[in-house]
Amino acid sequence: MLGTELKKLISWIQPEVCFGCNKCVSGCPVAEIHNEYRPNRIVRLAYLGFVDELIESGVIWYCTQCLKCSERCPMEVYPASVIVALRNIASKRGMTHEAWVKMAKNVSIYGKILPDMGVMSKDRKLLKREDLGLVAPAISRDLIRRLFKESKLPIDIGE
Amino acid sequence: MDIRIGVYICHCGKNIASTVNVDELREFASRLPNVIVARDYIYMCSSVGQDLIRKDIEELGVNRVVVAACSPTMHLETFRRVLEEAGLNKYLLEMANIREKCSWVHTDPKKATEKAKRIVSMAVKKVSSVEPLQEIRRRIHKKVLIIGGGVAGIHAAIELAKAGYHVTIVEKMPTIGGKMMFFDKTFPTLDCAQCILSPRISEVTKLENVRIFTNSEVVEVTGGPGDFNVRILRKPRYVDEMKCVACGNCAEKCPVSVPNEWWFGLGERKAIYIPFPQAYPNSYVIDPDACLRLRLRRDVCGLCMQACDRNAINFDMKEEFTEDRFGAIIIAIGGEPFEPSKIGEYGYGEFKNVITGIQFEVLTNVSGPTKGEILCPKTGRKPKTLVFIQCVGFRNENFNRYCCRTGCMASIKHAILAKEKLGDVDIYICAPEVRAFGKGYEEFYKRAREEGIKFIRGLPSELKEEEDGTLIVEVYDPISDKILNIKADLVVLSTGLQASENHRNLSEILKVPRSPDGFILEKHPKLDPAATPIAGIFVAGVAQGPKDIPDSISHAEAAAARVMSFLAKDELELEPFKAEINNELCSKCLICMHTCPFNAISIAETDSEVKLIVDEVICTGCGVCASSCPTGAITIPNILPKQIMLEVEAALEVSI
Amino acid sequence: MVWSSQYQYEISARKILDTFGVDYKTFPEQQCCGKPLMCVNIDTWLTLAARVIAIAEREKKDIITLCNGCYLSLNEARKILLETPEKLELVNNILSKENLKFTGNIRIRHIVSVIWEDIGVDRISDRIKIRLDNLKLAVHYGCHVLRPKEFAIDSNPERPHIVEDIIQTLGAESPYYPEKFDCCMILLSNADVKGADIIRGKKLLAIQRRKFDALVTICPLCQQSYETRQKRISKLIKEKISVPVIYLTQLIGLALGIPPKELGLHLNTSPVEVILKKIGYEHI
Repeated sequence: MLGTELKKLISWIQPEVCFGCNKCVSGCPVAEIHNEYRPNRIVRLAYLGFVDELIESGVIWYCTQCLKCSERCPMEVYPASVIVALRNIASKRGMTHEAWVKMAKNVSIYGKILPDMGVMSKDRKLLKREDLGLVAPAISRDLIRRLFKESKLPIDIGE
Repeated sequence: MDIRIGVYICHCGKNIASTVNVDELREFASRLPNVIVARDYIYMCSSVGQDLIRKDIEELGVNRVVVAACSPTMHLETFRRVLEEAGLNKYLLEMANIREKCSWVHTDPKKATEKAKRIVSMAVKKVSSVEPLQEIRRRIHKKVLIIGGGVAGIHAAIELAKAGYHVTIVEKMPTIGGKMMFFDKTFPTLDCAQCILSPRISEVTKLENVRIFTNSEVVEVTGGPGDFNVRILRKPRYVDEMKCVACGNCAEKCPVSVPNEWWFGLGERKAIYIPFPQAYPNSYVIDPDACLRLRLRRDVCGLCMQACDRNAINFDMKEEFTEDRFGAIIIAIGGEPFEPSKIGEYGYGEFKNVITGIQFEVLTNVSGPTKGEILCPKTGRKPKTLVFIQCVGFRNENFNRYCCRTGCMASIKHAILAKEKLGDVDIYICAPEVRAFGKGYEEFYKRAREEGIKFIRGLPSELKEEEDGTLIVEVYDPISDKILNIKADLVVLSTGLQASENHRNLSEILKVPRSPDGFILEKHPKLDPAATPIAGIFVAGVAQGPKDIPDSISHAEAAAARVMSFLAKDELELEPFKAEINNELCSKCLICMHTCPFNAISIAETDSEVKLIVDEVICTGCGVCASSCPTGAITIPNILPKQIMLEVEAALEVSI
Repeated sequence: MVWSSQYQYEISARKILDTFGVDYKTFPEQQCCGKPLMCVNIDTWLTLAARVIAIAEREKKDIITLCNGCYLSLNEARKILLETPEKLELVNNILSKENLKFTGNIRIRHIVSVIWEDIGVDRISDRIKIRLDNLKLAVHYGCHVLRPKEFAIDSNPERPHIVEDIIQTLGAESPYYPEKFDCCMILLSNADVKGADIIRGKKLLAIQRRKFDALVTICPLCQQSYETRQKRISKLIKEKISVPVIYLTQLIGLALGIPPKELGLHLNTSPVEVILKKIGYEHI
């Protein structure tokens, strides 16, 4: 059945039951500013098999995962989860969006998505965690690499 | 006597024949012991098929019949009639279900055919052992109880009364008329609801053989079809309806105000009130949960009594119980509107200018809180922009899965009325699609569009409220591919009817099952929608499922017709499958009495002995008593243990 | 507790928990909850989340998250792992090399829930030194503490009240406003930062026009979205945006009389001086 590949990744999505009430589009903040972005259109295209087209267009990286669509859908289609599944498929094909590649790389180096470079206070002092009495993270790079490798993350995080 | 069995195998078109090899089955059947003829035909239930059986009985002397076909719930009666017409006792028939229990649930033809052979073999063995039986005849009470006095109950009552039956209507509310009484106009004709219903109310209240109990409830039902023993609770009005002239002086003086349930929260009424001007009986009533004197049970207040110059108020009235026997019962209890406060994102209950369709109806009603003017609850001013949102609480996995059926037409009606009353207003109806299935409905939908009512094929995700109470409705319109931003003065959540507490209570009292959506279960959704699985109990109107007025009336008249044919004879013919207790084997342990789900078994004591007797009207032949009896004293004719064992043996025979 | 890159949030949160004697620990080896990896490879997300939970399990402690994203990420991962045996096995195989095991027997809670349930408004009320009267505050819950409903921190996620109740205890008011449940758009800014800023600008402008004194947040990503980009947003939407954005924990701390610097207010990048003046602090 169409959509099976997606369901293998996320079992609770139901792209086939959508009856087009458009409630998800009405509440979507991204749809408000981007005319070509409609959550149910993405779900329908994925269901009908137009996965390549969706991945090529890059539209699947716009969703901000506010979850209003998934929460209020009367049929429990879970559009936001369909989009996560599509992102996973795109990544398997080596087409992860660069911002996510960057985040993955940062996690592998720093253990978090941003390096701890300190913050600038209002009186122009650069303060680090230790300066503020906060515990400093101690996460091994090798550990994160191993976790990525064994969970089969399809990104080359380089050195 | 010689057992001469005829086996008749139905193809049921392709339903059976595409999975079960009917030729092989027929050959197999013809070789079974005592079978003198085996035939197959494409549709055994047709006249041609039935003739095959009849001819064999008349010409070949077949005296036992097996029909291998669909479930007995479909055509058992059909084939029993064939036997009767051919002069054979109609209980010398067994149906072998090779459709629902075989061809419809299996896909492997070889295995399905083997299974069908076993099923037929069982039926042949069984029918060899059955005895001819006679139906049990009991006197029928030609009296009908109708529970619920709304549009459905009233129409059923009128038809039955005109046909000569004695009808009792038991209505829970202080007045009959039901939900239709506070409609203003009805779709698609825009007939005034009162103008349609009031004459019928007048008619039903004048018919001699109709008795109406308002402010009353059915509390207990015992007995069985043709002979139901019903206990009715008559709650006190505290006002003598014969003396009250509905002048209203009492209500003016009453100090207690409570939310008016007839206005669904849009206004208040006093503790002593009349539901609406055309109520029947046309008398005031006191709400015991609101009235100070009744709540506190002390001699306080009493201002209404002082104001009444007819001496109609009587605080000493008490609950009364009435018992009566009825031959048939019609359930016509309607439904309750869905409460949208569960849908937090639409702000109902918090945003004052968000109301339900039922509340909108109340606003348009001349007897309502605004005397028929459409006004925004927050400001009291007329709205300039209205938005209707459809399917609220329905077609939704989190609330009701079914379609409310009346929402689309109700909103179209409301929109057209709003245009009429308010003149130049902007109206949007947000509906994924419009369901306009009835006569004149699609034309009504077109008329709405012609009048400039805008239909948006999308639902809003949430509503937002400005400080002045106007609502921001963001909704996607797929045809223009734009997310509209509408500033609405009034938002109407179009909801529909659900089953209520009444459904649950009555279902328990009458032992009538309900469907998963909570409404009363019909006997068959296509073939028998106005009957229930319990003989003698029928259902009319929204009690069985949401529907509009024309369908409610049709359904009610169907229920009346079913009751008429049910009660047409002087005697009720009951199936002979009733528990029989052999008193010599009975050890008087009373286990059967306690396990019977229908309370059909009772003790009869005389000077010489104690016996347990079964009420044949109530007994449904379920067999629970028979299987509980430790001494085997209880049996059901033609379903004896030894007959069941024959079937079991036939089923387990290894070589087929 | 799971820490945050928004140091002022962490500082103020610790201050509140310390003041009321809530016991907690932070572990240097705890890494990212894995949410950014969910959109790349679900198994990697589950592994990282499970590791965070497993460390807490090892210490027999519940988890407190400061971030809405972490809150939902850990709760969702826990549910999936408990319901999908294959994933549970996969993840525990990977964790076993560190002698860690995920069983899902601890709770994952948001700091707001801890304040509401474990501390309670009565105890806060007893210790108020500075009542925040006359302050009109715009509450921003964010998305992931309200949806999906099963993990929501409030029993009525479409009409939540716990943050408003806490604010009322402090003496301020937090009325409803139509833009209240608009998302901070943090994930959209990965692919389209301009679009994200337009939506954020709309909310900030509305808050400004409706004369709120500040925007109160409970998530570092939401705070970042609204606080750090006000200059850029002003240029984009061609309206000057100047809205103080403050964490709920900082607000509570101020009401308790804790000096602004100890709550990290010198690290906020929005004009918090404006609101501090209203409370009586001439400078941070």
